Amino acid sequence: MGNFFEGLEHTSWVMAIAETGWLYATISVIHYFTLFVLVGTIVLVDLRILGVAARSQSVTQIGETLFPWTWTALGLALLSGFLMFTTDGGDYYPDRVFRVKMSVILLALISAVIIQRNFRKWDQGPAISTGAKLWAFASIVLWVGAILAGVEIAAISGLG
Amino acid sequence: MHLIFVICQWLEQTAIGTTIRESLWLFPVIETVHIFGIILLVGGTSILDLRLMGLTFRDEPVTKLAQRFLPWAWAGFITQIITGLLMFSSEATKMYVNTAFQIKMLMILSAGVNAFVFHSLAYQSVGKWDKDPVAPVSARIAGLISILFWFGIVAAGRWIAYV
Repeated sequence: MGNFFEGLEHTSWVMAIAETGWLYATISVIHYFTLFVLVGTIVLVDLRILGVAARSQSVTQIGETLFPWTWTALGLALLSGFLMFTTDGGDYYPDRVFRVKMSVILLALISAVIIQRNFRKWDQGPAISTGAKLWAFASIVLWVGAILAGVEIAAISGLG
Repeated sequence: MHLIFVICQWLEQTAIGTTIRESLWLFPVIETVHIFGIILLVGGTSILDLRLMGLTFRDEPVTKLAQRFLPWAWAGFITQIITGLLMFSSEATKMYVNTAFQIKMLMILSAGVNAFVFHSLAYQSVGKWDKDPVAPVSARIAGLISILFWFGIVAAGRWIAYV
């Protein structure tokens, strides 16, 4: 797999991104804006489940308003992230910090899917269950971890 | 502006600046909080800007939305000042000569001036257009300028690493 990414680094379009400073920086900016929407919407729903924010709306209302934005932003975040990854895939792929980031994101996405599939049901009763609140809390922790891992890649591994 | 550069040098030599600079995890943790601060601050201001432009929450009075979201925007702004200062203190002289950082600071100042002008002028008559789905032209322009500045500030912040 590592060899495949090593080879991908040398394709013409990947090299174009890697060598055009403003293009890479712009893709990075897009990556950040999409992650604001991705993480912002998920965390806001989580905070509503925890009863800490947006209490003027029900869990169902806020979930239904925000989740469409979540998945659109995820698609763009993955795309922009992948484009940056390809410019140095041979180095990113085996990197420990990068792998931690991908693992945490995977767990965070699994928790997002679970919350998306259950939020209406959780909103049925008179109060949100403790189990639901635990999922919401875990979700927040995972996304904070994902961003921290992303920032650490540059700090520890010097990549990107 | 040699005096400012001297202040930057001094900041970098402080215990706080040095500790942050030499720690492998402290700067990234502060940076992570800074990222969440962006979501709070720019999320809050953008919703209000979009409302002024008549693009979202058109059925909500402007003042009601302001009441709901401005506190979050302010909390975000304070978070950014604190985390920003901490990060700045660890590499102040580097930031001093960084073009993207300079542009970012100028835009923050400009966004502040735009907000001040809006609140002093157009917003004074908000009672008349509070419930209108689309605000008067001067308010719409203020909203557009504001959202362009804040998005620009975020973009400039990311560009710091690349110039």
